Formats: sequence, structure tokens, C-alpha cells
Amino acid sequence: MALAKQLIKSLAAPFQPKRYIDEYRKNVERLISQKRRGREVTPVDQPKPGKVVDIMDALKRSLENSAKPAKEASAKRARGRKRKAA
Amino acid sequence: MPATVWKGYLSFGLVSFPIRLFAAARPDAIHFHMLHKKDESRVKEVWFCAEENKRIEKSDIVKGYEYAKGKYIIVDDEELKKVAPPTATTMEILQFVKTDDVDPIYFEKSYYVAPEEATSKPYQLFRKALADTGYDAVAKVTMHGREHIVVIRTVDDGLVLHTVYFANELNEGNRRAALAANSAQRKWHWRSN
Repeated sequence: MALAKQLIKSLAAPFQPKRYIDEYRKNVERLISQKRRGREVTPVDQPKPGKVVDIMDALKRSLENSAKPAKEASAKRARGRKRKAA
Repeated sequence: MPATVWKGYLSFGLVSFPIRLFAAARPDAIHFHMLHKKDESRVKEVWFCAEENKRIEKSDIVKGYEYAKGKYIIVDDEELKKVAPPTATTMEILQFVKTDDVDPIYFEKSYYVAPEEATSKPYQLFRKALADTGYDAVAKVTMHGREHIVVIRTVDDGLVLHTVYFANELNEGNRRAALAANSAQRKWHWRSN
């Protein structure tokens, strides 16, 4: 329980709705543009969540992975930088 | 069991557990039927092709996206399924917010979150952790042909989920117009006093 609470606090941040976008819409737009240009459609993989055997262990590992809650925002920034460099 | 609106996993760090969503409310408007005026019989909707000037079956209908005037790209459900983001099957928690941090203006629809298994330990752990810390979860899920941001909060022994609008869906123009009208009226009141 303490671990779960710690994980919540590590991902706590004020609500920033502008950070989020509809990825499904983005994917459908890409599908349409790929079909228009006669290209092959890039499929999106679905995750296959396995049975959780040890909740404590999984929580512990989650905490180690989640240093920053702004995962999405930082990923976007990294992509932007790459584009500029190219 | 009530009708399931969405079924999949809720992923909390590396922990994920199966859940189902049930609608929390439904609009209750009075319902009328369409009748033929002359004999009061029920009328039927039919699909009609203007080009061939004839009735067609539903199975003859495909989805087309108009990318330029009168030009369409045909898209089928299989293709749409292939590009569904991972959140179609796994609801991913993005962050946690203090309870009441999200302005209710964002709330769209409400659903009950039920654990898939009769005794769901991770579900109860998650619920209790939220309740004890005073936080709500913000997650992403794909349903009804679009991706939604959702706020998950505790209620009694369970969890309730609200779909919320994206920031760009709020009508900023109307907000500004309404607030401007309000301040104009206030000025007028002060002057008349």
C-alpha cells in the first residue's frame, strides 16, 4: 500500500489538459494519408498485459521507472529537437 | 450484469488489472415514433443511392473520408482497428491530480469502473491508495472511435470514471463572449447606480 501511494505521489502534477492529444485521430489521419499516396498502412501494436504475479514487485519496479510524470511532454520535446537537427 | 461499454486493462505503472466500464447515467427524454400521417403506420429509414436512383442495402455501404471536394478514401473497420492506439485495450494512467483539481467544465460522461474478477486485489489496492492520498487518476483510453482523457476517482467502495474534453474542445470563443457580456453589464449597473 505504501508503495502504491508513493507511486501516486511520484506521478502527481497539476492537471494540464493542453498536454494531451487524441492519438486515435492522429493515427486515422495518418492511415488516410498513407492510403491516398498508395503507401502501406503502418499498424499499431496492442500491448498484451500478462497476469500480474507479484503486485509488490511490479509496484516497486514501477517506482524505479517513474522518476518524472511528464513522460508524454518530454517525449514530444525530444522528437521536436530531432526534427530541427535534421 | 449491465451492458459493458468498454472492457480492457487499467495500467498503473507495471501493474495492470482487468476492468469493465458501465454507463453511470442515461438521458431520459420522452420518445416519439415517426408515423405515416395518412395511416399512422411506422415509417422505416432506407439507404438510398442518388446516383443509381435506387434503394441499397446497409451491407453495400462503406465509409469514405472526403479529402478533397467529391474525392474519397475508403476506409474499413479492419483498417481502423489496425491503427487503434494501445489505449484501445489498455487504459494508461498519465498522471495523478489532487481531488477537485479538474474544472467540472471538462467533464463529459460518467462510467462505473468494475473489476473484472470477483475479488480483484489490485483494484482494491488502487482504490484505497487514491482514497487515502486524496488523489484522482488521469488516464487515456480509446473507445467509441476516439481517444479520451479520463479522470478516475473513488466513490464508496468503487471507482467512477469521467471522460473529459480535450483542451481544444472547450469553446473558448463562447467563454470570452459570455464573460465580456457579463463585465459590460456590471459596468452598466455601476453607472446607473
